[in-house]
Parts: sequence; structure tokens; C-alpha cells
Amino acid sequence: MGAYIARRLAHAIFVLIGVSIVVFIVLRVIPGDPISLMFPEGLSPERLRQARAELGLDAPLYKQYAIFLAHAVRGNLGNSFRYQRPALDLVLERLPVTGQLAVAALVITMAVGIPLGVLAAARRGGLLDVLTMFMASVGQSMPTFWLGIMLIVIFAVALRWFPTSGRESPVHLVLPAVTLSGFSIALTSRLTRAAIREVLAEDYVRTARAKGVHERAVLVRHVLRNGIIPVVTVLGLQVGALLGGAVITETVFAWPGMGLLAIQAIYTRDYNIVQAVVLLSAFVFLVVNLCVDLFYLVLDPRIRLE
Amino acid sequence: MGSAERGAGMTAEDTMRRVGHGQTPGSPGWTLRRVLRRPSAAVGLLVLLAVIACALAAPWVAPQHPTRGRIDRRLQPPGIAEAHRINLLGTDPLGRDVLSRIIFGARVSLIVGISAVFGAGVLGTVLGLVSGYAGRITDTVVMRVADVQLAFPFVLLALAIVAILGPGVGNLIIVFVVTGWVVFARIVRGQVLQIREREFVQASRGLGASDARVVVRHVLPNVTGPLIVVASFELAKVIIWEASLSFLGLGVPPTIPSWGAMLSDGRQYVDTAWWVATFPGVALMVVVLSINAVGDALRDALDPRLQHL
Repeated sequence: MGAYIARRLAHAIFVLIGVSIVVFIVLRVIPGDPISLMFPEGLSPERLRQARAELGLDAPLYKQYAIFLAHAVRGNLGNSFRYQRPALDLVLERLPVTGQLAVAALVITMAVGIPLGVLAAARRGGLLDVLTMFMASVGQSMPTFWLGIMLIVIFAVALRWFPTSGRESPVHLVLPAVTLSGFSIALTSRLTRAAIREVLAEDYVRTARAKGVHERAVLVRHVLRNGIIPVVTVLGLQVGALLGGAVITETVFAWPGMGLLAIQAIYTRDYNIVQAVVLLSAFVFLVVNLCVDLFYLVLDPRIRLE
Repeated sequence: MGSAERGAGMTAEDTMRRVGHGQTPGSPGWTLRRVLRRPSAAVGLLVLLAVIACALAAPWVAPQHPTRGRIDRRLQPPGIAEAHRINLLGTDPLGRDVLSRIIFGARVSLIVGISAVFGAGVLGTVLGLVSGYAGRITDTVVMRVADVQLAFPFVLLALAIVAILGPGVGNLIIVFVVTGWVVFARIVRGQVLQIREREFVQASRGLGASDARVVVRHVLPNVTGPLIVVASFELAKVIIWEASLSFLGLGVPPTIPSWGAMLSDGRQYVDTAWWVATFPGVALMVVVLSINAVGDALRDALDPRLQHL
């Protein structure tokens, strides 16, 4: 167990280093100098060289990376060129904002997707099953941003139930969270249904029924517990998708989270912010997936971790 | 991981069962018949063929010019206002016909989608074959690169690449090839690892077959099914993401009609002209829904073990 966690952590660190190299190289190959964007009126050659030296942009690429890595392990991801503040601080300030959206979406996904999938599997071929599968197909075929726009058209513009954008009150969270969860709900209900149907065909379910266990107890104690594992795996992977989808959702609803910050930073070539967002997202993704793997042990003691 | 491993042992029986059917399972005709047996897939295929035909014949099918608008007819609601100038789905802020732009926009979605999936499929298959077949260091390197890519927020990677290369159809295709090969490589590698140890491959090796011959004769035919299934779902995904990037202003240049850019234009007018942002999205959804319906049927016909896709 301890050795397993250690190996997984080593792997996670390896992946993080890989991600940092990719993002570092990609961002520095982008044409467009942050300095010319910071000083659109232009600088004298002398002042320009000075500014480049101050930002460390005059060193060779590998040297810049080494310096970056040495700072990164101490939690220093450089300053934002634009805000003149530590990039990590700026991103960490926005993390809870995106986190709020992602967690709300995840909660909606689980509260809607899993019960729908279980009921659809239990009432195989029934109206609910057919409807759920149809809605799941539609949900998986809809681009996030279009779902967002349609929700705005219907619930914000026509019915005036919710605001179109912003983050002033809890009511503002509803439309973005529903938008972000749309795809995950579709995926989760579909997967849960498939997994539950598979388990329903198992011998031990027949045995439980034969010995007179109440149908609900069969579903909860025998079926759900065994069928939920693939669903949990996908939910873990969905956290990555939710963080990515947040970029789009935050743009549609002007939700001031990490995604919006990252998009603006890409437009203004604010390298350090993009770097910090990417590294933090990758970090969250890896931690969540490690937790998911460990959660298997709780769900199914037979699973041996290698 | 669970379902993939559980499914792994089934291959031999699976093959036996398929061969036992007496037809030629997996042949194009057999697959098509099985796909068409399902109503949703038959409808989906019909819709896709219609969309492809419209995209190819866009200049003749579209009622009006897609980029030339009449400013006096801007933001006209859907319907027939004048007998000689019909805007079935309304006009956009520049007075251009929404229906005509949707028909032309299908071209971008299809070109980007099909080329990107083809490119990613080829790259992923080659890397998967090399990784699974060569083993050891090559395998480790390719799979670690895949891990890094999976942990990388896709949108940001795509945005960063487009920012480097600049917007354009060709650059979008490159973005999706670079970000899309991983799933193909994983599937192919998994199959190679299984097949490599099987008796018929060992026998073929023993008879002196070269690596290249083993790959072409034994490995590739065994991965075609899963590859086609994955490709269909990837196509749906790429079409959605192409629209998303165009929506963010990082897809195709605004001079070319595309569904994502139309949605982006329409977003500013949601409170006065709902049709501008609604219809391109409907078109997008219908196409993706059709692809997914066909993909589901393909999966059930070719490889039911890929349930998780």
C-alpha cells in the first residue's frame, strides 16, 4: 500500500515535469513578445534589452527552464508580466472560483446521472430507460458552449429566472453549473446503466433475489456496490474534462475563474499565468485520479493494487 | 482500467464465435447490414450522407451567397418576408442568410473532422504498433508522453498551439492530430500486447515471418474493428471541439463560414435575435448525434467490448 502510493506519486511528479516541459516550450515558441505587448508604444533598444534581462528572457531556453524548475519546486512560478504579481497567487485566487463551478457540476452529475442510470437499468426497456438513453445521446452530442447559450436564451432572456452572467450571488451559479454538467450527466447515466445491467445478470444477484431479499436492497447492497466502480473511474477522469470545460463555460457566462484567466493570459502572452494554470490543472487531475484508485480499495477489497 | 482488463480475456472466444457464424464477420458488407438493422443508426447514416451531399454541392444547394449580405435585411427573423428573397432560418447581423451559411459551414466541420481523425488515427496506430511491438524503452517513452498529454488540459493545449500557428483550417487539423492520437495509440498497443503472445503469431514467427509481416497480416486486421469504432466517436468529438475553438475566436478565420463562428456571432444577439445562435447549434447537434448513433451501432457490430466509449 505505502509502496504503491509512493510509486504513484513518483509517476505523478514525472507527468508534472513532462507537462511543465511541454507548456514551457510551447509558450516560448509562440510568436509575439510579451514586452512589446506590455509596452505597445515601443522601447529604445537599450531599454528593451534591459527589460528582457529583467524578465530573464535573454537566457537560452534550457537555462530559462532550469531556473523555472528550481523556482517552481519552491512554489515560485514567476510573476505575471501584466499584473506584476506572483502568477501562482493570481491563479490560486481564482482556483476556488473555478472549484465552486466544477464541484457544483460534479454534484449535479452524480445526483442526476447515477440515479437515472440505475433506474434505467432496473426498468430495462421501460419509458424511463428509453427517455434517459435518448437524453443521454442528445446530451453527449451537444457542445458545452451551445448548451450554455440556449440556457441563457430560455432561462435568462425569455423567462428571466436567472442572470445571464457574473458571479454576484448563488443564483448566478445555477446556469453555468448546469451547462458544465450537461455532458457529464449524459456520460454518467449511460455508463451507470451499462454497468448496472452487467451486474444484474450476475449469479449472486439471482441468488439474492431467490432467497427473498427485497428488490431495493438487492439494487443498493449488491448491484450498486459492484457496478459503481467503472462509474467512479470515469467520474475521476471527468474532473479533467470539467476543468477543461470550465474554460468554455467561464467564457460564455463571464465566470471569473481560472479558465477565463488562462484565456486572457494566452491572448496577452502572459506566459507565467498560463504555465501556472496548466500545472495546477494537471496537479489537480493527478491527485483526483490517485484518490479514485485508492477509493477502489474501499469499494472492493478484492482489488489488489500493483 | 477494470473493464478493459475484464474484457481482455474474451478475445479468443469472441473470434471463435464470430467465425462460427458462417458469414464473413467484420467484412464491410456484413458490418453495414448490422449497422442498418438498427433504426437510429440507419437514420443517422442517412442524415450524414445528406449533410455530406449538401456540403459538397453547397454552391448549388445554398439559396444565397454565404458571405455576401444585404445590410438592409440584417437580423431578419426566420420565415418568408418577401416572395423573391426567402430567409428560411433568418439572417445574421450582417444580413447574410443563416441557412446558406450553415450549408457552407458544414464543409469546415467535415473537412477538419475527417482529416483530423484520419491523421490522428494513422499517427496513433503507428505509435501504438511501435510501442506495443518494440516494447521496453520505446514503449515507456510513448506511453509516458501519452500520460503527460492526458493530464494536460486539452483546451489550453489546443489554444496554445493555435496561438502559435495562427488560425486556419490546416492549423486546426494539426491541433487535433497532435491532441487526438493518444486514444488510438492506447487501443492499438493493447491489442498488440494481447496478439503478440498468441499461438498463431508465435507460429507465424516460428515459420520465419518478419516483424513487418506479422504486423500487416495478424495485428492490423485485428485492430481495424476497434479503430473504426474509436474513429467514429473521435469524429464527433473533433467536430464539437472545432466549433468550440472557432467560438473562442481561435478556429477558422472569420471570413470562412463555420458553425462555431456563427454561434459566436449570434451570442451577442441572444436577447433580440435568438435564431442566429440557435440554428448552427442545431445543425451541429444533429450531425454529432447521427455520428454517435452510427458509432454505437458500429461498436455493437464490431467490438461490443468497447462499452465504455
